[in-house]
Amino acid sequence: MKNPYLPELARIINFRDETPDTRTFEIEPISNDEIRGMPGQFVEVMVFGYGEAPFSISGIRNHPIELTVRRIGTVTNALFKLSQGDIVGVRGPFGRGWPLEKLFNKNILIIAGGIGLAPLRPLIHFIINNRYRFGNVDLLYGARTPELLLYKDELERWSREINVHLTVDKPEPEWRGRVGVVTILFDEIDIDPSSTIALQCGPPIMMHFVTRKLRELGFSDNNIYLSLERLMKCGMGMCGKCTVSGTYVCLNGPVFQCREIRGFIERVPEIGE
Amino acid sequence: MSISGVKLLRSYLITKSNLYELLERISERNKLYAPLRHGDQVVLDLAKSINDILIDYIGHSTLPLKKILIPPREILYEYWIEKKSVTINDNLDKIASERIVIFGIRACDIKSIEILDKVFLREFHDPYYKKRRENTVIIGLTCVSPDKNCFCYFTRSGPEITSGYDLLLTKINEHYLVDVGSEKGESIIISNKELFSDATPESLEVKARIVKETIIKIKDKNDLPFFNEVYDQLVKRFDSREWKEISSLCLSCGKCNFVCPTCTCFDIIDEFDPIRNRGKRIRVWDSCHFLSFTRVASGEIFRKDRSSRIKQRIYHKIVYSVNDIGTISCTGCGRCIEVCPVGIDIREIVRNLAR
Amino acid sequence: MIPKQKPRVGIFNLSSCEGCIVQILNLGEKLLDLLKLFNIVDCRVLGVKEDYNKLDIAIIEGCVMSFEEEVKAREIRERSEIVIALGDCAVSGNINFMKDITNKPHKSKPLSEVIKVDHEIPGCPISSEEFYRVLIDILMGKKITKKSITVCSECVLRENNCLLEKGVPCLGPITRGDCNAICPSNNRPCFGCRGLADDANIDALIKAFRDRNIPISQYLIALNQMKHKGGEER
Repeated sequence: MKNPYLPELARIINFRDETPDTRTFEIEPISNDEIRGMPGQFVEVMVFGYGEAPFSISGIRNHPIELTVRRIGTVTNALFKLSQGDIVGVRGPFGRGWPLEKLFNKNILIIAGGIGLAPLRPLIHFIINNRYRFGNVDLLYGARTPELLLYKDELERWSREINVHLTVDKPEPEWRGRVGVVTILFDEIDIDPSSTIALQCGPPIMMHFVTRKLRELGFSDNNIYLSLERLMKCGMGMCGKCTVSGTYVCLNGPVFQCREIRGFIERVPEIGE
Repeated sequence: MSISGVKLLRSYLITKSNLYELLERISERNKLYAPLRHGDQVVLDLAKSINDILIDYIGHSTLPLKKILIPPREILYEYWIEKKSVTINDNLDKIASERIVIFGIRACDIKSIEILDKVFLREFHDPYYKKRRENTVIIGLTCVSPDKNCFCYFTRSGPEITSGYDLLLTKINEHYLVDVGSEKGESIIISNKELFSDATPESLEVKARIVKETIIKIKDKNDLPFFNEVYDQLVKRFDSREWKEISSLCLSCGKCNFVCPTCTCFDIIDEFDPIRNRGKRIRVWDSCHFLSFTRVASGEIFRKDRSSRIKQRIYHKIVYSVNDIGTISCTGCGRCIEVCPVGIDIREIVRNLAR
Repeated sequence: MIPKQKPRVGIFNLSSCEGCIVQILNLGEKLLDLLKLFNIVDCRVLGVKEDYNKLDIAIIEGCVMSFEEEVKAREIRERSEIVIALGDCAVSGNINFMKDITNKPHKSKPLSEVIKVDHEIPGCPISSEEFYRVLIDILMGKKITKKSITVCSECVLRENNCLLEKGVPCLGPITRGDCNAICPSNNRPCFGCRGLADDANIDALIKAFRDRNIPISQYLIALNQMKHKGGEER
């Protein structure tokens, strides 16, 4: 059996800047093996010389997987210095992604904050490619400034297939959209909580208020899913750093049903308690 | 891996001098780890001379058996970068040929192997652990001298143990009774036949009596609930005020994690030499008491409160482990009590919360 | 991966014993590696003094004890891109501060009280290994982080006899490690030269001392007062 600690060598095929500090990389194993990721799963990327960090998969449509990375620490800084054709290591995919099978024939409400849209992007692609299998689909997306909205060109395209609602905390002069935290967008949507599944990813504080809002609206904990960010060092349920109430986020998450989290003994700030 | 739980019923006797002879033979062909004296401490370490081995010591070694199976610092792989390519050298190859015999550990540590197996050999297999585990022979020793902090009886991990070892020795007067726990153990007997004689019925009776006496010794020092029966009470007391008191005492020094036979959390760090373009990925033990333990890239720390970190350790042992691997992961060795500079005592915590 | 031009480095000392600079010399072969990567243009101990205007990295050992030293520190700061406080004297005042503890105002100042410090290498003396690592990390553009491990836990990893249990005032439980517990391993109590550990609980250690009839030093009391006041952690 292959040693799961050893990364597979992969090449940076391409990259594009999304915002001043965020870049989407296309990565492909040099062996030409496919990385079969599911929406919501993550991989560990090794930048040789610098170290390894977990990134959720932000695109799985084509052969190379896509990772949207914010420049934030040692590994991401080093990753930003690499160019086309450079080698990185990849382990994974790991974890449990969005519950695709539970979404069919349902209305879908997606709530994202900042870089939190990245793990939801493959899900949005999946929904758009199978549009007829879903009911109403709303995306509520907030970022600090208009410049920091991810996938700007795609948001436009998505809006032809699903309802895209945007807001920013700090507008720029040319911004014509809403201003405020993502929960203000709830007034733009008309949803039936009993037939809608809500899926969210964003900073803990955002998910905290979104989960509260959803419950106020009558969502049951069974119909709310969140992707938790924790320190996933090994990705394999061993190093213990990502556990929440003894549950390994890397194995049993990062996507959890709100009801599971509510059953936890240790408090999880993201579920609005 | 021969942890199938097949219990071979044969037992033997060996004299003390033959036992030393056996250890001598073993040390010629294996890395023999055994309890040794280090200052005032007992440590489990490579035995350079058979005469240094402690057989009848009180309590347990400072660091538990995990230090051999998952060393405190271990290189996972090395790599070097040449132009646009990277070559990876798995360190697993280096440990592949190691043959390890661990002698003289007691029920609390033998029991810990079962728990380590459940963590390191489940959905994913940790190949480093697995390789060492496969290469390791366990020769346990029935504990007759629990110290003041020992409470294995209340975690149901000792002093009697019936699996998890290859051979188990019990001192019976001038002899040692040898229980065989695996095929590996049996093969040691077969290849050193002349050192053993068949066990007598009396020796088995003596062993049963010794175990009973040890239980009494432990019970005399402890008035405790069984740790596998306090799950519900602990869950209910998660927000108990007592945690605040305990956390005002705790130094967050992390010693309790390092000495625990079942604390397995680790970090992986990088070293790089930019002149030779060579790097290493190294696994090091980590502690859930350290503030940085849960820090993610964005800077968020999920267990900022000292009390949340203490609870992490205690609940992991008694509650989370049950959910995760189906058993409590405290083996009652008492090491965390022994080393705590401020006297935080898991027995007291459990006794109070279970009330 | 590393810049083509070697960064220019100056090594200076204020009030100190120069023991930390000796630790740099103790790097042996690794020092030769550093010399391949860095261009040392100013260092009294090495006998180097080149003409230069700007420095990429200034390494300053020692604390500030006089007006002259304050001026010197500011001067170095002005011409340097990165300033590293080298050793506990520069980081916290160390022994000068301990002596100074009952004087108000304190005469000894850690470097960060006088100028902006970018990185700290703690210890009395510093660990050569850490010095090497920090320089390499700066060169490679890595984030410099201090390890969370405490001296006490590193000491138990070495399976030493506990000094605290013997009634010796060891600060290991509240002190940031990554020194491999060198002092307690040599039968010397930890005196906290690497600074407080994250979330150090000094109150609890004071209690642990009292329980063992270990006298509480003025230093420990002052340290605790400063911690409770917040901010100024020395």
